Amino acid sequence: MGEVKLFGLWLSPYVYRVIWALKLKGIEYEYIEEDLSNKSELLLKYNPVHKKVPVLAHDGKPIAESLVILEYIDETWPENPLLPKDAEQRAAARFWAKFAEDKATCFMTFFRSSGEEQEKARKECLEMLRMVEEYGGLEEKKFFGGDTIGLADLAFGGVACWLGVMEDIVGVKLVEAHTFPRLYAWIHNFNQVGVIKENLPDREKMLVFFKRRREILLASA
Amino acid sequence: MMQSDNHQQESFVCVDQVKLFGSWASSYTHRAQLALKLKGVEFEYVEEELTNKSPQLLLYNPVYKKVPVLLHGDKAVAESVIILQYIDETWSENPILPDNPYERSLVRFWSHFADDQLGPSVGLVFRSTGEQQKAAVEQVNDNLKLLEKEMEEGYFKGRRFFGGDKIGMLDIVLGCGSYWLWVLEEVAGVKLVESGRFPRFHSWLRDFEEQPEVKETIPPTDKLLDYAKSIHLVILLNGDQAQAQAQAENP
Repeated sequence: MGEVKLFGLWLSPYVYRVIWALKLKGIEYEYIEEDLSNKSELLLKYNPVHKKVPVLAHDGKPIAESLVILEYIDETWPENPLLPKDAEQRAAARFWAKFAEDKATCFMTFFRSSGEEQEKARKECLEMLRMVEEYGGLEEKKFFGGDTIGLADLAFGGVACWLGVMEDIVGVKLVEAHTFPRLYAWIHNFNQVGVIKENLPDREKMLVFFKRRREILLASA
Repeated sequence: MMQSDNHQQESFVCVDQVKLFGSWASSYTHRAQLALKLKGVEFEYVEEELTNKSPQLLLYNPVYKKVPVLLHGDKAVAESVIILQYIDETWSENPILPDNPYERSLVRFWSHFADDQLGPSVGLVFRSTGEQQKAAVEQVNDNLKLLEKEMEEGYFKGRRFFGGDKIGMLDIVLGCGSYWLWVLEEVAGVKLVESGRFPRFHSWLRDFEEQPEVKETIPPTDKLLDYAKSIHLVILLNGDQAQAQAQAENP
Protein backbone atom coordinates (compact mmCIF):
# COMPACT_ATOMS: atom_id res chain seq x y z
CA MET A 1 0.00 0.00 0.00
CA GLY A 2 2.82 2.41 0.78
CA GLU A 3 2.67 5.45 2.99
CA VAL A 4 -0.36 7.65 2.35
CA LYS A 5 -0.74 11.16 3.77
CA LEU A 6 -3.63 13.54 3.29
CA PHE A 7 -3.25 17.25 3.92
CA GLY A 8 -6.65 18.77 4.56
CA LEU A 9 -9.01 21.13 6.24
CA TRP A 10 -11.73 19.91 8.60
CA LEU A 11 -14.62 21.55 6.82
CA SER A 12 -13.63 21.38 3.18
CA PRO A 13 -15.89 19.38 0.84
CA TYR A 14 -12.92 19.01 -1.51
CA VAL A 15 -10.94 17.30 1.23
CA TYR A 16 -13.89 15.08 2.07
CA ARG A 17 -14.09 13.84 -1.51
CA VAL A 18 -10.66 12.33 -0.92
CA ILE A 19 -11.45 11.04 2.57
CA TRP A 20 -14.52 9.25 1.22
CA ALA A 21 -12.53 7.69 -1.63
CA LEU A 22 -9.82 6.46 0.74
CA LYS A 23 -12.41 5.04 3.14
CA LEU A 24 -14.39 3.37 0.35
CA LYS A 25 -11.27 1.55 -0.72
CA GLY A 26 -10.09 0.76 2.80
CA ILE A 27 -6.83 2.65 2.36
CA GLU A 28 -4.97 3.51 5.54
CA TYR A 29 -3.70 7.05 5.67
CA GLU A 30 -2.34 9.69 7.96
CA TYR A 31 -4.39 12.87 8.10
CA ILE A 32 -2.69 16.22 8.58
CA GLU A 33 -4.87 19.23 9.41
CA GLU A 34 -3.61 22.40 7.77
CA ASP A 35 -4.03 25.90 9.10
CA LEU A 36 -4.55 27.92 5.93
CA SER A 37 -3.34 31.11 7.59
CA ASN A 38 -0.12 29.32 8.44
CA LYS A 39 0.52 26.67 5.81
CA SER A 40 2.99 23.95 6.57
CA GLU A 41 6.30 23.77 4.72
CA LEU A 42 5.38 20.35 3.45
CA LEU A 43 2.13 21.61 1.92
CA LEU A 44 3.94 24.45 0.16
CA LYS A 45 6.54 22.01 -1.09
CA TYR A 46 3.91 19.52 -2.27
CA ASN A 47 1.58 22.03 -3.92
CA PRO A 48 3.68 25.04 -4.91
CA VAL A 49 1.37 25.99 -7.78
CA HIS A 50 -1.87 26.41 -5.83
CA LYS A 51 -0.79 26.07 -2.17
CA LYS A 52 -4.16 24.50 -1.41
CA VAL A 53 -5.66 21.43 0.19
CA PRO A 54 -6.35 18.63 -0.38
CA VAL A 55 -2.96 17.20 -1.24
CA LEU A 56 -2.31 13.48 -1.21
CA ALA A 57 1.23 12.22 -0.75
CA HIS A 58 1.81 8.59 -1.69
CA ASP A 59 5.29 7.44 -0.67
CA GLY A 60 6.36 11.05 -0.76
CA LYS A 61 4.93 11.72 -4.25
CA PRO A 62 2.45 14.60 -4.05
CA ILE A 63 -0.81 14.83 -5.96
CA ALA A 64 -2.91 17.99 -5.83
CA GLU A 65 -6.54 18.83 -6.83
CA SER A 66 -9.29 16.65 -5.47
CA LEU A 67 -10.58 15.24 -8.77
CA VAL A 68 -7.04 14.46 -9.94
CA ILE A 69 -6.43 12.76 -6.59
CA LEU A 70 -9.63 10.71 -6.94
CA GLU A 71 -8.57 9.38 -10.34
CA TYR A 72 -5.10 8.60 -8.99
CA ILE A 73 -6.60 6.71 -6.06
CA ASP A 74 -8.93 4.81 -8.40
CA GLU A 75 -6.08 3.80 -10.72
CA THR A 76 -3.73 2.83 -7.91
CA TRP A 77 -6.24 0.92 -5.73
CA PRO A 78 -8.78 -0.62 -8.11
CA GLU A 79 -11.07 -2.22 -5.46
CA ASN A 80 -14.50 -0.61 -5.16
CA PRO A 81 -13.99 1.39 -8.35
CA LEU A 82 -15.01 5.03 -8.59
CA LEU A 83 -15.22 4.89 -12.36
CA PRO A 84 -16.89 2.26 -14.56
CA LYS A 85 -15.01 0.36 -17.26
CA ASP A 86 -17.09 1.63 -20.17
CA ALA A 87 -15.46 4.63 -21.90
CA GLU A 88 -18.72 6.49 -22.49
CA GLN A 89 -19.81 6.10 -18.88
CA ARG A 90 -16.39 7.22 -17.71
CA ALA A 91 -16.72 10.31 -19.88
CA ALA A 92 -20.16 11.02 -18.40
CA ALA A 93 -18.83 10.63 -14.85
CA ARG A 94 -15.94 12.99 -15.58
CA PHE A 95 -18.31 15.44 -17.23
CA TRP A 96 -20.52 15.70 -14.15
CA ALA A 97 -17.56 15.80 -11.77
CA LYS A 98 -16.14 18.71 -13.77
CA PHE A 99 -19.56 20.37 -13.83
CA ALA A 100 -19.76 20.17 -10.04
CA GLU A 101 -16.28 21.65 -9.84
CA ASP A 102 -16.82 24.47 -12.31
CA LYS A 103 -20.18 25.55 -10.92
CA ALA A 104 -19.25 25.52 -7.24
CA THR A 105 -18.50 29.25 -7.14
CA CYS A 106 -22.12 30.33 -7.46
CA PHE A 107 -22.89 28.53 -4.18
CA MET A 108 -20.02 30.30 -2.47
CA THR A 109 -21.26 33.65 -3.77
CA PHE A 110 -24.78 32.78 -2.65
CA PHE A 111 -23.43 32.18 0.83
CA ARG A 112 -21.19 35.22 0.98
CA SER A 113 -23.54 37.87 -0.28
CA SER A 114 -26.84 39.56 0.26
CA GLY A 115 -29.33 41.66 -1.68
CA GLU A 116 -29.00 41.86 -5.44
CA GLU A 117 -25.71 40.00 -5.61
CA GLN A 118 -27.17 37.11 -3.66
CA GLU A 119 -30.31 37.04 -5.77
CA LYS A 120 -28.15 36.77 -8.90
CA ALA A 121 -26.13 33.95 -7.31
CA ARG A 122 -29.31 32.21 -6.20
CA LYS A 123 -30.58 32.18 -9.77
CA GLU A 124 -27.25 30.80 -11.01
CA CYS A 125 -27.32 28.06 -8.38
CA LEU A 126 -30.85 27.10 -9.40
CA GLU A 127 -29.80 27.04 -13.05
CA MET A 128 -26.92 24.74 -12.18
CA LEU A 129 -29.17 22.45 -10.14
CA ARG A 130 -31.71 22.43 -12.97
CA MET A 131 -29.04 21.10 -15.36
CA VAL A 132 -28.24 18.24 -13.01
CA GLU A 133 -31.92 17.49 -12.45
CA GLU A 134 -32.69 17.40 -16.17
CA TYR A 135 -29.57 15.85 -17.67
CA GLY A 136 -27.77 14.08 -14.82
CA GLY A 137 -29.45 10.75 -15.57
CA LEU A 138 -30.69 10.40 -11.99
CA GLU A 139 -34.15 9.31 -13.12
CA GLU A 140 -32.63 6.01 -14.21
CA LYS A 141 -30.30 5.29 -11.34
CA LYS A 142 -29.78 5.76 -7.64
CA PHE A 143 -26.40 7.45 -7.97
CA PHE A 144 -24.38 9.06 -10.77
CA GLY A 145 -22.23 5.96 -10.46
CA GLY A 146 -25.21 3.58 -10.78
CA ASP A 147 -25.98 1.36 -7.79
CA THR A 148 -22.96 2.54 -5.87
CA ILE A 149 -21.40 5.99 -5.49
CA GLY A 150 -18.64 6.99 -7.87
CA LEU A 151 -16.53 9.91 -8.97
CA ALA A 152 -19.39 12.23 -9.85
CA ASP A 153 -21.28 11.47 -6.63
CA LEU A 154 -18.22 12.37 -4.57
CA ALA A 155 -17.78 15.54 -6.60
CA PHE A 156 -21.34 16.57 -5.72
CA GLY A 157 -20.77 15.82 -2.04
CA GLY A 158 -20.83 19.54 -1.34
CA VAL A 159 -24.40 19.71 -2.57
CA ALA A 160 -25.39 16.70 -0.49
CA CYS A 161 -23.82 17.70 2.78
CA TRP A 162 -22.73 21.33 2.82
CA LEU A 163 -25.60 22.98 0.99
CA GLY A 164 -28.04 22.14 3.79
CA VAL A 165 -25.87 23.98 6.29
CA MET A 166 -25.64 27.03 3.99
CA GLU A 167 -29.39 26.97 3.41
CA ASP A 168 -30.02 26.93 7.17
CA ILE A 169 -27.72 29.87 7.78
CA VAL A 170 -28.86 31.99 4.85
CA GLY A 171 -32.49 31.07 5.45
CA VAL A 172 -33.16 30.22 1.80
CA LYS A 173 -33.81 26.72 0.48
CA LEU A 174 -32.40 25.92 -2.95
CA VAL A 175 -33.22 22.22 -3.24
CA GLU A 176 -36.69 21.05 -2.30
CA ALA A 177 -38.48 17.78 -2.96
CA HIS A 178 -41.09 19.34 -5.21
CA THR A 179 -38.69 21.53 -7.23
CA PHE A 180 -35.82 19.07 -7.67
CA PRO A 181 -37.25 15.59 -6.96
CA ARG A 182 -34.37 13.61 -8.49
CA LEU A 183 -31.66 15.66 -6.81
CA TYR A 184 -33.55 15.59 -3.53
CA ALA A 185 -33.73 11.78 -3.68
CA TRP A 186 -30.05 11.58 -4.63
CA ILE A 187 -29.07 13.76 -1.65
CA HIS A 188 -31.06 11.51 0.66
CA ASN A 189 -29.52 8.32 -0.80
CA PHE A 190 -26.01 9.75 -0.75
CA ASN A 191 -26.33 10.64 2.92
CA GLN A 192 -27.44 7.08 3.72
CA VAL A 193 -24.21 5.55 2.41
CA GLY A 194 -22.18 4.22 5.36
CA VAL A 195 -18.85 5.75 4.38
CA ILE A 196 -20.48 9.14 3.93
CA LYS A 197 -22.54 9.00 7.12
CA GLU A 198 -19.51 8.03 9.17
CA ASN A 199 -17.23 10.64 7.64
CA LEU A 200 -18.63 14.12 7.82
CA PRO A 201 -17.55 17.24 9.68
CA ASP A 202 -19.48 17.87 12.86
CA ARG A 203 -22.66 19.66 11.77
CA GLU A 204 -22.95 21.83 14.86
CA LYS A 205 -19.34 22.88 14.53
CA MET A 206 -19.94 23.70 10.87
CA LEU A 207 -23.06 25.72 11.63
CA VAL A 208 -21.23 27.80 14.22
CA PHE A 209 -18.19 28.31 11.99
CA PHE A 210 -20.08 29.20 8.82
CA LYS A 211 -22.56 31.43 10.62
CA ARG A 212 -19.71 33.48 12.04
CA ARG A 213 -17.98 33.46 8.67
CA ARG A 214 -21.05 34.83 6.91
CA GLU A 215 -21.49 37.55 9.54
CA ILE A 216 -17.91 38.67 9.05
CA LEU A 217 -18.20 38.61 5.26
CA LEU A 218 -21.43 40.60 5.22
CA ALA A 219 -20.08 43.13 7.71
CA SER A 220 -17.02 43.78 5.60
CA ALA A 221 -18.89 43.90 2.27
CA MET B 1 -15.73 -1.47 -32.86
CA MET B 2 -18.38 -4.17 -32.59
CA GLN B 3 -17.93 -7.78 -33.60
CA SER B 4 -20.62 -10.35 -34.12
CA ASP B 5 -20.90 -13.00 -31.44
CA ASN B 6 -20.49 -15.90 -33.83
CA HIS B 7 -16.76 -16.27 -34.26
CA GLN B 8 -17.22 -19.30 -36.51
CA GLN B 9 -18.31 -17.07 -39.33
CA GLU B 10 -16.28 -14.31 -40.88
CA SER B 11 -16.31 -11.66 -38.20
CA PHE B 12 -18.35 -8.71 -39.26
CA VAL B 13 -16.68 -5.59 -37.99
CA CYS B 14 -19.00 -2.68 -37.63
CA VAL B 15 -17.21 0.58 -37.05
CA ASP B 16 -19.34 3.19 -35.38
CA GLN B 17 -19.22 6.47 -37.24
CA VAL B 18 -17.19 9.25 -35.65
CA LYS B 19 -18.31 12.84 -35.97
CA LEU B 20 -16.69 15.90 -34.46
CA PHE B 21 -18.65 19.11 -34.02
CA GLY B 22 -16.26 22.01 -33.81
CA SER B 23 -15.30 25.51 -34.69
CA TRP B 24 -12.32 26.15 -36.96
CA ALA B 25 -10.69 28.74 -34.68
CA SER B 26 -11.33 26.92 -31.43
CA SER B 27 -8.21 25.49 -29.82
CA TYR B 28 -10.44 23.08 -27.89
CA THR B 29 -11.66 21.72 -31.22
CA HIS B 30 -8.07 21.44 -32.47
CA ARG B 31 -7.24 19.25 -29.49
CA ALA B 32 -9.87 16.70 -30.46
CA GLN B 33 -8.95 16.83 -34.16
CA LEU B 34 -5.28 16.31 -33.35
CA ALA B 35 -5.93 13.34 -31.08
CA LEU B 36 -8.12 11.63 -33.69
CA LYS B 37 -5.44 12.24 -36.33
CA LEU B 38 -2.69 10.86 -34.11
CA LYS B 39 -4.71 7.69 -33.66
CA GLY B 40 -5.57 7.39 -37.32
CA VAL B 41 -9.29 7.55 -36.59
CA GLU B 42 -11.42 8.56 -39.54
CA PHE B 43 -14.01 11.12 -38.66
CA GLU B 44 -16.47 13.51 -40.19
CA TYR B 45 -15.93 17.11 -39.17
CA VAL B 46 -18.94 19.38 -38.76
CA GLU B 47 -18.26 23.10 -38.58
CA GLU B 48 -20.56 24.87 -36.15
CA GLU B 49 -21.55 28.46 -36.56
CA LEU B 50 -21.39 29.60 -32.97
CA THR B 51 -23.92 32.37 -33.41
CA ASN B 52 -26.32 29.89 -34.98
CA LYS B 53 -25.79 26.54 -33.31
CA SER B 54 -27.16 23.44 -34.96
CA PRO B 55 -29.99 21.49 -33.32
CA GLN B 56 -27.61 18.53 -33.23
CA LEU B 57 -25.07 20.41 -31.13
CA LEU B 58 -27.76 21.54 -28.71
CA LEU B 59 -29.01 17.96 -28.49
CA TYR B 60 -25.60 16.45 -27.83
CA ASN B 61 -24.36 19.11 -25.43
CA PRO B 62 -27.44 20.57 -23.80
CA VAL B 63 -25.61 21.55 -20.62
CA TYR B 64 -22.94 23.82 -22.12
CA LYS B 65 -24.06 24.09 -25.76
CA LYS B 66 -20.39 24.35 -26.77
CA VAL B 67 -17.90 22.80 -29.14
CA PRO B 68 -16.16 20.46 -29.42
CA VAL B 69 -18.53 17.52 -29.13
CA LEU B 70 -17.48 14.07 -30.22
CA LEU B 71 -20.18 11.76 -31.51
CA HIS B 72 -19.16 8.11 -31.64
CA GLY B 73 -22.06 6.09 -32.95
CA ASP B 74 -24.82 7.39 -30.69
CA LYS B 75 -22.50 8.30 -27.83
CA ALA B 76 -21.88 11.99 -27.31
CA VAL B 77 -18.87 13.27 -25.38
CA ALA B 78 -18.31 16.92 -24.47
CA GLU B 79 -15.42 18.92 -22.94
CA SER B 80 -12.10 18.66 -24.74
CA VAL B 81 -10.00 17.08 -21.95
CA ILE B 82 -12.72 14.52 -21.37
CA ILE B 83 -12.94 13.86 -25.12
CA LEU B 84 -9.17 13.28 -25.24
CA GLN B 85 -9.41 10.66 -22.51
CA TYR B 86 -12.39 9.02 -24.21
CA ILE B 87 -10.41 8.86 -27.46
CA ASP B 88 -7.43 7.33 -25.67
CA GLU B 89 -9.58 4.72 -23.95
CA THR B 90 -11.50 3.79 -27.09
CA TRP B 91 -8.67 3.62 -29.64
CA SER B 92 -5.63 2.05 -28.06
CA GLU B 93 -3.00 2.67 -30.77
CA ASN B 94 -0.55 5.51 -30.15
CA PRO B 95 -1.56 6.15 -26.54
CA ILE B 96 -1.68 9.79 -25.50
CA LEU B 97 -1.82 9.12 -21.77
CA PRO B 98 0.99 7.34 -19.89
CA ASP B 99 0.46 4.00 -18.13
CA ASN B 100 1.82 5.15 -14.81
CA PRO B 101 -0.94 6.56 -12.51
CA TYR B 102 1.36 9.16 -10.98
CA GLU B 103 2.38 10.52 -14.33
CA ARG B 104 -1.28 10.48 -15.42
CA SER B 105 -2.12 12.60 -12.36
CA LEU B 106 0.49 15.16 -13.41
CA VAL B 107 -0.85 15.21 -16.96
CA ARG B 108 -4.33 15.91 -15.58
CA PHE B 109 -3.08 18.50 -13.08
CA TRP B 110 -1.22 20.51 -15.71
CA SER B 111 -4.09 20.16 -18.19
CA HIS B 112 -6.35 21.79 -15.60
CA PHE B 113 -3.69 24.45 -15.08
CA ALA B 114 -3.75 25.18 -18.80
CA ASP B 115 -7.54 25.58 -18.83
CA ASP B 116 -8.23 27.07 -15.41
CA GLN B 117 -5.25 29.37 -15.02
CA LEU B 118 -3.06 29.94 -18.09
CA GLY B 119 -5.84 30.12 -20.67
CA PRO B 120 -8.02 32.61 -18.77
CA SER B 121 -5.01 34.86 -18.04
CA VAL B 122 -4.25 35.02 -21.77
CA GLY B 123 -7.91 35.70 -22.50
CA LEU B 124 -7.88 38.58 -20.03
CA VAL B 125 -4.96 40.23 -21.82
CA PHE B 126 -6.97 40.07 -24.99
CA ARG B 127 -10.10 41.55 -23.48
CA SER B 128 -8.57 44.37 -21.45
CA THR B 129 -6.67 47.59 -21.89
CA GLY B 130 -4.47 49.91 -19.86
CA GLU B 131 -3.67 49.00 -16.27
CA GLN B 132 -5.90 45.96 -16.27
CA GLN B 133 -4.08 44.61 -19.30
CA LYS B 134 -0.69 45.26 -17.70
CA ALA B 135 -1.73 43.20 -14.69
CA ALA B 136 -3.05 40.45 -16.97
CA VAL B 137 0.27 40.32 -18.85
CA GLU B 138 2.07 39.88 -15.53
CA GLN B 139 -0.24 37.01 -14.68
CA VAL B 140 0.49 35.28 -17.99
CA ASN B 141 4.18 35.59 -17.30
CA ASP B 142 3.76 34.24 -13.77
CA ASN B 143 1.87 31.25 -15.18
CA LEU B 144 4.48 30.59 -17.85
CA LYS B 145 7.15 30.84 -15.16
CA LEU B 146 5.43 28.03 -13.25
CA LEU B 147 5.30 25.93 -16.39
CA GLU B 148 8.92 26.64 -17.28
CA LYS B 149 9.96 25.67 -13.75
CA GLU B 150 8.11 22.38 -14.05
CA MET B 151 9.84 21.68 -17.34
CA GLU B 152 13.19 22.58 -15.82
CA GLU B 153 12.99 20.76 -12.48
CA GLY B 154 9.84 18.67 -12.40
CA TYR B 155 8.81 15.18 -13.44
CA PHE B 156 8.93 15.99 -17.16
CA LYS B 157 12.40 17.51 -17.14
CA GLY B 158 14.71 16.50 -19.94
CA ARG B 159 11.88 15.34 -22.17
CA ARG B 160 11.33 16.55 -25.68
CA PHE B 161 7.59 16.43 -25.15
CA PHE B 162 5.54 15.95 -21.99
CA GLY B 163 4.55 12.62 -23.51
CA GLY B 164 8.19 11.62 -23.98
CA ASP B 165 9.44 11.15 -27.54
CA LYS B 166 5.96 11.46 -28.90
CA ILE B 167 3.33 14.05 -28.08
CA GLY B 168 0.79 13.10 -25.44
CA MET B 169 -2.35 14.58 -23.93
CA LEU B 170 -0.57 17.37 -22.07
CA ASP B 171 1.29 18.42 -25.21
CA ILE B 172 -2.03 18.47 -27.05
CA VAL B 173 -3.75 20.50 -24.33
CA LEU B 174 -0.98 23.07 -23.93
CA GLY B 175 0.04 23.09 -27.54
CA CYS B 176 -3.41 23.72 -28.92
CA GLY B 177 -3.84 27.18 -27.55
CA SER B 178 -0.24 28.32 -27.21
CA TYR B 179 -0.31 29.71 -30.74
CA TRP B 180 -2.73 32.33 -29.39
CA LEU B 181 0.19 33.83 -27.48
CA TRP B 182 1.85 35.00 -30.70
CA VAL B 183 -1.41 35.95 -32.38
CA LEU B 184 -2.57 38.02 -29.41
CA GLU B 185 0.78 39.74 -29.06
CA GLU B 186 0.31 41.01 -32.56
CA VAL B 187 -3.36 41.90 -32.20
CA ALA B 188 -3.36 43.38 -28.72
CA GLY B 189 -0.03 45.05 -29.32
CA VAL B 190 1.55 43.81 -26.11
CA LYS B 191 4.62 41.74 -25.48
CA LEU B 192 3.20 38.66 -23.76
CA VAL B 193 6.23 36.48 -23.65
CA GLU B 194 9.58 38.15 -23.08
CA SER B 195 12.03 36.53 -25.48
CA GLY B 196 14.63 34.40 -23.80
CA ARG B 197 12.57 34.17 -20.62
CA PHE B 198 11.07 30.74 -21.20
CA PRO B 199 13.60 28.78 -23.28
CA ARG B 200 12.21 25.32 -22.52
CA PHE B 201 8.66 26.40 -23.22
CA HIS B 202 9.78 27.93 -26.52
CA SER B 203 11.73 24.93 -27.71
CA TRP B 204 8.93 22.55 -26.68
CA LEU B 205 6.38 24.63 -28.57
CA ARG B 206 8.56 24.81 -31.64
CA ASP B 207 8.99 21.02 -31.66
CA PHE B 208 5.25 20.56 -31.12
CA GLU B 209 4.34 22.82 -34.03
CA GLU B 210 6.75 20.92 -36.30
CA GLN B 211 4.86 17.66 -35.87
CA PRO B 212 3.10 16.77 -39.16
CA GLU B 213 -0.27 16.07 -37.51
CA VAL B 214 -0.09 19.41 -35.70
CA LYS B 215 0.71 21.23 -38.94
CA GLU B 216 -2.34 19.60 -40.50
CA THR B 217 -4.56 20.66 -37.62
CA ILE B 218 -3.70 24.22 -36.64
CA PRO B 219 -5.07 26.80 -39.07
CA PRO B 220 -2.57 29.12 -40.78
CA THR B 221 -1.42 32.05 -38.63
CA ASP B 222 -2.73 34.72 -40.98
CA LYS B 223 -6.24 33.24 -40.74
CA LEU B 224 -6.00 33.17 -36.94
CA LEU B 225 -4.70 36.75 -36.99
CA ASP B 226 -7.61 37.99 -39.06
CA TYR B 227 -10.05 36.21 -36.79
CA ALA B 228 -8.47 37.60 -33.62
CA LYS B 229 -8.36 41.10 -35.09
CA SER B 230 -12.06 41.04 -35.89
CA ILE B 231 -12.99 39.84 -32.41
CA HIS B 232 -10.66 42.32 -30.76
CA LEU B 233 -12.15 45.23 -32.60
CA VAL B 234 -15.64 44.24 -31.55
CA ILE B 235 -14.52 43.87 -27.92
CA LEU B 236 -12.91 47.26 -27.80
CA LEU B 237 -15.92 48.93 -29.39
CA ASN B 238 -18.67 47.17 -27.53
CA GLY B 239 -17.26 46.20 -24.13
CA ASP B 240 -19.42 43.67 -22.23
CA GLN B 241 -21.60 42.52 -25.05
CA ALA B 242 -18.64 41.69 -27.21
CA GLN B 243 -16.95 39.96 -24.30
CA ALA B 244 -19.90 37.62 -24.05
CA GLN B 245 -19.72 37.02 -27.78
CA ALA B 246 -16.01 36.31 -27.66
CA GLN B 247 -16.55 33.91 -24.81
CA ALA B 248 -19.24 32.10 -26.74
CA GLU B 249 -16.86 31.71 -29.65
CA ASN B 250 -13.90 30.61 -27.60
CA PRO B 251 -15.32 28.01 -25.25
